[in-house]
Amino acid sequence: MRFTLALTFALFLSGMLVYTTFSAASPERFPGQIASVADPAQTYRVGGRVVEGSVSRPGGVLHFKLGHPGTAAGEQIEVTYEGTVPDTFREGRDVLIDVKRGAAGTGSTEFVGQDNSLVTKCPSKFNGAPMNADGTTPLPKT
Amino acid sequence: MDVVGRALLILALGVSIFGSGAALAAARNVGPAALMLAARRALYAVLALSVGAFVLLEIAFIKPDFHYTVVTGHASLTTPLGYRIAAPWASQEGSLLLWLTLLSLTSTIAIRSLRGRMRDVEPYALAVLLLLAAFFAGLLVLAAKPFATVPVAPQDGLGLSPLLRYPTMMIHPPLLYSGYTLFAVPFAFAIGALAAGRLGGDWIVHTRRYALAAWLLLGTGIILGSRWSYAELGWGGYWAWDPVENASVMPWLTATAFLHTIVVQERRGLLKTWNVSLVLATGLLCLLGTFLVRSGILESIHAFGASTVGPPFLILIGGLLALSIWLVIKRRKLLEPSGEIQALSRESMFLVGNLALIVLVVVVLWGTFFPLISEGLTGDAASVGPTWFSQYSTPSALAIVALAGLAPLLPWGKGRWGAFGRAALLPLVVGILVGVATAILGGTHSIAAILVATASAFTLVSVAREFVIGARARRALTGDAPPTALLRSIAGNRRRYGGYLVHAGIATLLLAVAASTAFDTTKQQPLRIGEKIDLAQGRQLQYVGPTGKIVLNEQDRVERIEFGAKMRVWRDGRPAELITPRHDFYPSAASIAFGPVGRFFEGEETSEISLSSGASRDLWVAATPDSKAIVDRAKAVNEGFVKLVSERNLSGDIAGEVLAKSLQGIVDQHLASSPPVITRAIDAPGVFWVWIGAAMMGLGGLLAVSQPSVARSRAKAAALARVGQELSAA
Repeated sequence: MRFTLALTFALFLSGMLVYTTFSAASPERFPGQIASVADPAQTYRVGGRVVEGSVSRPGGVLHFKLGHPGTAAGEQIEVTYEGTVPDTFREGRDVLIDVKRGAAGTGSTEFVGQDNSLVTKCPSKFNGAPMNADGTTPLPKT
Repeated sequence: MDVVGRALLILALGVSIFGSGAALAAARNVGPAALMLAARRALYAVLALSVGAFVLLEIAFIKPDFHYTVVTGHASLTTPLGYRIAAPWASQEGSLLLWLTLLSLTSTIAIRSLRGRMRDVEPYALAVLLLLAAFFAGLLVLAAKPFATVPVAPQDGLGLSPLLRYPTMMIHPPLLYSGYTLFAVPFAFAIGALAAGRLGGDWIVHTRRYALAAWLLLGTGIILGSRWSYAELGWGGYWAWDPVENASVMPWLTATAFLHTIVVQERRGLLKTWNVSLVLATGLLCLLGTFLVRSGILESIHAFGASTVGPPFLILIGGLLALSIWLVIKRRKLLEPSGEIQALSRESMFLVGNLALIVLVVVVLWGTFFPLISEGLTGDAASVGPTWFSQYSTPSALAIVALAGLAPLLPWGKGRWGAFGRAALLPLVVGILVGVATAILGGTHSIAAILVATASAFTLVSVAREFVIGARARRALTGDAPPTALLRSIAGNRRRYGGYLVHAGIATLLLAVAASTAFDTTKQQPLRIGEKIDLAQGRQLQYVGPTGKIVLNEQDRVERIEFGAKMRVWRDGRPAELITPRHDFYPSAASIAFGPVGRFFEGEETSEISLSSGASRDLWVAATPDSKAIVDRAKAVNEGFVKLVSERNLSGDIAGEVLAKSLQGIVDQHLASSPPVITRAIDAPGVFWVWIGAAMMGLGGLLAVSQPSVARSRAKAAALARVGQELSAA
């Protein structure tokens, strides 16, 4: 009897976990995958590189373009974000952010960043790249 | 020196492999009888070799010797000495070496303290401990080499990441690693007890203090990390459900579970399978946590870069998991319980509390690894955020804190409803009153916060009641004054009262977490000079003006450039304290890519927040200037500087002076432009009590760990009895 109860509880919990994670999780996409086809009702976790020269903060609101190196402008998205900006956020850095399509709707590449979801990927943060002997050779920034 | 370092690590690898094999052979009675002695000496040799290697690495960082690639990557001429000492554990290589050193230290203490006990279990445990040592030594020899060098040393290194330049860096990682490595002791003895078929209480008695010390150190490490995050990371929180945070809290939760249920096994001979499984799970979760940080498989602010150490870790964890499951199944008959748990008893509350803890562990484990699970199943790496974690952690935390108050009210064995009702009445009444007061004062928008407040108050009163009962009993027996009676009753049973203090601490901590997350006021907006932000309870924050400063190190090199904001706190319409949050720019080593001026603004940036902390509320403020405008200005100045130097062919000294003036000019221009700042202010109640609750838990843990083990008490009692007999015979 107790074993049956425990098993039922475990199965119930497992079912809950699986259901809630798959329904709450944000799939990770590249900017090019959502630029034109994003469903306005869905939140996407998008990972890409902040386009050089695209960052501005009119009225304190962060605007930037997100793309991938070498991708066409059409494969970039424009993001407006009002949450916490990590100290490591910069042009040219790889970031992750939860976004929803903006008010302009399908066809536009404008997206709105969700609350405090901006994360800067910086894999070399704790792992410095080796320098050349003269110490003057340029190093990759991330 | 690098050759010596490499030789020490190769020797450590060879000796630990030999020792592990020798211990295993001794366990199986293969080979000469002296093998066990050789295995023990191998462990001591690994300790000496790893300490030697670690000291050499520290010397390289202190100098600093940029022949070592690891030193170049994590220290520079501008890195202060204290941070150079701590820098080894900022690197993959150094942290693995610290792991090996601490593992061999804790293993040596555990083996030496056996003093001839558990002769059947010891060889297996020693084999496991040396196997773990061999694994880490192998990583250091083959994959993450701390003594790798370059023929010509660079003039300077990259320096320690500014985010790591915080005093806690000195102790937070070593505390976590100490916790992880101490948990290896109960893990190894559990494997040993299973392999030897000696599943009485001996191995639990011997390893309990190690488990308790590991729980204490890991918990302290976690809370110091939270404090670091709160004060340094610029997002204003102390817990983010980051994969690496999760990895450290999982073994702590399983350890919390088994530290309760091993008492049930000691007293009643029950839950043997459960306990041994929890100990094994804790050890494996420690390895999993280490793997998570080092493999880089999940995105985390803490993770080291992508590396090659992941697959060996997976093989080790998979192998040990399979061994653990096989041994538990093989010994299932020896693990059968010798009785039953009554529904209304202290042990039933422990078991339900355990279930709540384990549900939380399963949830955290699933949520943490969900990106990998999701990618495996659907091809998409989807992840879940804090909201998902809170959905499960809130009810689990509620259950845990309520049970922390319920358990002390019940006796061991079988309780009676009448007595339980009488004992629970006062805590329940106080809990309900506090819940109602929370709803009236804070509003009913957060039912979870109201329930946590009720449960926490219930537990605090329940625990206080136990202290009062203990003091009264002592006073009745001895006639001591109440404070003396209280202190003596605590001193007489430190483990018990330490546990109660931990319960009070967790109740305080969760109450503070509920208050600070449910009733906070968070504002983020750009401010111009003179503008104010309205906060809670009549407080306001006003931007008074910008600040700027170039900070030099001891060698007169630019360590950082600070851009801050003077801000006035207003309380009830009256000006109060002045605070100065700032945003710092650290130089990049890439002078060709960004130019001689630009490089000072193109390295890492950090927010140095201002924190006004009080018993009732915390005011947390971060102020960020427009970094892009500063960097753009630096780029323009850089162009002018480069042109001037090349046109006028300026010598090194003069160019240096012009460079210094250019940097100061950028700072002065910033100050003169009356720039706006993006201000993030969090006015939250009760955060102070998060740290007080954690301190209470730490104090409780210390109290519990200070009680001598039962074995030592018995040995002492036996010695006293012998002396008594001899005296009476004389």
